[in-house]
Amino acid sequence: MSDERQFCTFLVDGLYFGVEVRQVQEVIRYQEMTRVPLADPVVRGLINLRGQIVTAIDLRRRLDLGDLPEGSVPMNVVVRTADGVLSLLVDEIGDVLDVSPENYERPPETISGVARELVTGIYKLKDRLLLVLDTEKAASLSTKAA
Amino acid sequence: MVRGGQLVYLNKELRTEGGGKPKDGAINIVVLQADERQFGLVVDEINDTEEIVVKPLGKLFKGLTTFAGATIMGDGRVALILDVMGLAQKANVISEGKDRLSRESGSAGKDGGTAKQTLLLFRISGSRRMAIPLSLVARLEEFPADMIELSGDQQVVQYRGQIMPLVSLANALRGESAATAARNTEAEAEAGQTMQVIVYTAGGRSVGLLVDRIVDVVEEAIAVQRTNVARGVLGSAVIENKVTEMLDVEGLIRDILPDSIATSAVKAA
Repeated sequence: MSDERQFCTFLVDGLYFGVEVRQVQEVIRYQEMTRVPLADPVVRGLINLRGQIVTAIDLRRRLDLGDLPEGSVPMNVVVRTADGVLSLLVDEIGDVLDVSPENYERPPETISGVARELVTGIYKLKDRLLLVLDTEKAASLSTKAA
Repeated sequence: MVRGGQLVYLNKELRTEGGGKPKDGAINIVVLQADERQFGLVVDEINDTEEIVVKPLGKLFKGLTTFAGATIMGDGRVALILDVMGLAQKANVISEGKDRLSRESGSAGKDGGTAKQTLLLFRISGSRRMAIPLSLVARLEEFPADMIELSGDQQVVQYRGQIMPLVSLANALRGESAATAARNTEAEAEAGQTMQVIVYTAGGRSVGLLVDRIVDVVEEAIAVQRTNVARGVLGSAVIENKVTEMLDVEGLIRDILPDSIATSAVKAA
């Protein structure tokens, strides 16, 4: 029981991701953002989170996936990182899941591209796979292919 | 009016869509100064002035010199703060590296001492004509005389969330006490007068200088003669054919409000 870990899950372009709950500060619906011209396109803007200015990172762009279709708005998964609080923009929020270590596997070699950098492991669930996202790497643009 | 005539289009510098097409045929220009260089920044719209606290942008914006940070406005929206120096460099108004040097050596000897300065002209004591460099002026304000309150003998006004000390220049330059100035203001309050105030800010704190009347802003090369040097006066110069005293604002404030901004600025430095 004590080996079980809890993950906050979400969807990005059909991919099922999870971030450990203790890294997640909160999950909030779409917030109005202030765009930052000249910044990396992965940075979608700045959010006023109860008086704190939080940078929003577009996970679709970070993962080299296409943008959300016109008219859909992303949700915010607000995470704590070494560089402070950041918001990850995702398509849809899933449940909080308890997963056990026997279902864990290292990411397979077949994953390529940016996902290889950002996915630290995979949990085999009953009907699908949960990709564990490395928030520190997702929040740093240095590993991104130029 | 903008020397050198250089205009910088903000929408072009920020590579933003649209903008720049004024509805009424007029364009809005904000005149900025980076080091000794003035330039005009073309913007879509001018809203208001607001006092703000600049929060730095995070690591993700490393290398983005156009912005000094961000702030949360009264309506809750996040506003980006432009870095005038960074913007000027990006737009090639000033060149990188050499800019800070030119500030040190700048106004002094350039062009054989005839470098132009922008000066704010004002009157005190009815006929005394004085000037200070506009660069030392944070803002010009008007207060009804009855808004002016007392803290001990010191005249103060509630201003943008601060208690701002007020210095009556006419009194201070005559060496009169703050209490005398307070009595004069009381009479003016009864007469329902409006007070003209030059706001001087240093080290994050502001002092209001009470004057009779703001006259003009001029750009001139002046030669200050150290005649009749008195407390708070650096000397006199002829500006627009009239003898004008140059106010020593830093010296005066250090003199009469020693606990105020002058000393705190020194400590900060």
